[in-house]
Amino acid sequence: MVKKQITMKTFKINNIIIVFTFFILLLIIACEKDTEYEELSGQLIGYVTLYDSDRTKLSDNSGVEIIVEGSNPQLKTSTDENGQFVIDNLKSGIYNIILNKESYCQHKLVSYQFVGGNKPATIYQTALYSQSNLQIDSLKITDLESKYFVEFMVNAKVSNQNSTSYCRYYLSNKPDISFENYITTDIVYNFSGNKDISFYLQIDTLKYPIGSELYLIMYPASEKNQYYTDINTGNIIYTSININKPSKVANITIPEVETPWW
Amino acid sequence: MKKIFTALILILLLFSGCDKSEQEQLDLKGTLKGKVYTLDEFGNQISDNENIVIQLVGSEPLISFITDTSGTYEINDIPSGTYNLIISKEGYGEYQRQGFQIIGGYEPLYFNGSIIEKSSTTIENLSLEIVNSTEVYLKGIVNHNFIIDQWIFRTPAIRYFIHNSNNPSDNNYLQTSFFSFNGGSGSQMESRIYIDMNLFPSGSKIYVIAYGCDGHEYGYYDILSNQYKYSSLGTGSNITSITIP
Repeated sequence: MVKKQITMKTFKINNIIIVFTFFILLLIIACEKDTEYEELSGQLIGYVTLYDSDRTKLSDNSGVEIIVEGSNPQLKTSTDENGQFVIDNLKSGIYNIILNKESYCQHKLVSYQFVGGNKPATIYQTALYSQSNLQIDSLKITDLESKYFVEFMVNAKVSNQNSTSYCRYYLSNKPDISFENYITTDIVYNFSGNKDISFYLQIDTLKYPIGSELYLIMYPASEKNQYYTDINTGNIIYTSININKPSKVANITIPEVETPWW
Repeated sequence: MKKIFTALILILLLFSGCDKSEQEQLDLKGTLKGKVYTLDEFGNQISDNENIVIQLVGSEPLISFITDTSGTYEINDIPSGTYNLIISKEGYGEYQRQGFQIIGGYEPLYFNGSIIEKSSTTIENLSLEIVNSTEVYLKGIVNHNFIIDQWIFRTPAIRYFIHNSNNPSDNNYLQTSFFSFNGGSGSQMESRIYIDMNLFPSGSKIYVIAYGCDGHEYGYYDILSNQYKYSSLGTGSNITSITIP
């Protein structure tokens, strides 16, 4: 009798163990499917072309660091001699792609949408320009005293001029003016080859009202068109300027002008 | 027995619970639609757009669509992903849209494209000649099916590929360009070509091959080689070479 009771007990225990293991197994099987729908990932291939500040193509495009801002852990790679970079296992999402090389103007591709999948996606040819080593020694702004328009003359003394023939100036009504914080900007050509830059500046009095203070800053530029949009401020950030070599800030008060009779 | 029952009920509950979370997973699919059409080698649109094959390479199993005469297509339930879209037809230059990212969603994505018949223009006796000791001329005899009269509207074009190794082709070149040819079929062509002195300095040997083409740069960008693939090219000429003066 006693023997029989023991076997009954062990049977019961065994039964519970079997049910329990089944339960766990089923749990694993049932919920494993859940993880199959993981985020899509894939490969991204892009090309970078290097230019010197003369805007001539270089034959060796290697050594550009590519940072995928927004990836976690942050993905990084660099270009080979052909300028090609490959980023593997990039998850689908929106990223900022930063292109960086020492003594080159940093550039950024903002809000790049990447889907992922079995075939690589691409970023078309991106140019990166060598930083201009032009030095803007002094910057002066003078009133031309026009009768009907607010018109100024800007004079800049430059030195250490290589073949760069561009400068970019920024205008603002605040003294903390920079390439990131401005109201209007434009490029200045300096094809004359001499060491001074001078140009006329006509001011829109709707943006800069009469009596307010106008601030001006200038940076050497290697190229005129490359930019990205800062999505926090909406400002356009021109990237092919040398941010390490700004001029001093010049300022002037917007003078009063007569309203034209027409 | 009671315990087993409760366990079974628990398992069932668990299953239903897991099923639900599975459905909640984002699994986007989308529709791609549009129209594809064919051009003959002279650049005229053909009304018959039958049997154009549209493929989404990178999908598993491979998604493809074969058009009827209208050339319209609609592909549904494409899982979100990156594909190489290929439009092809026998005898026509292939078009590819590589790295085509399809996110998916409720509204269809439109894509229209065209492919052109491969050129039947051939070039015989291709040779290079140096004129005035610096100018490089490409010469040969061109056979084509274009009608050249006083109302010339469409003319054959010739694309040449230059390399410093002895096997230049449309896939293996350092410099390429094209020019149009106004002569009748079987006549002599003679065109000055401009050599990139940075790639081919004086004293170096260049090898050139020429193909008949449509003259409208039909082709596509290839991601892996970072090169443009010219797809309307006909059969290639002989390879010729010369030393840069």
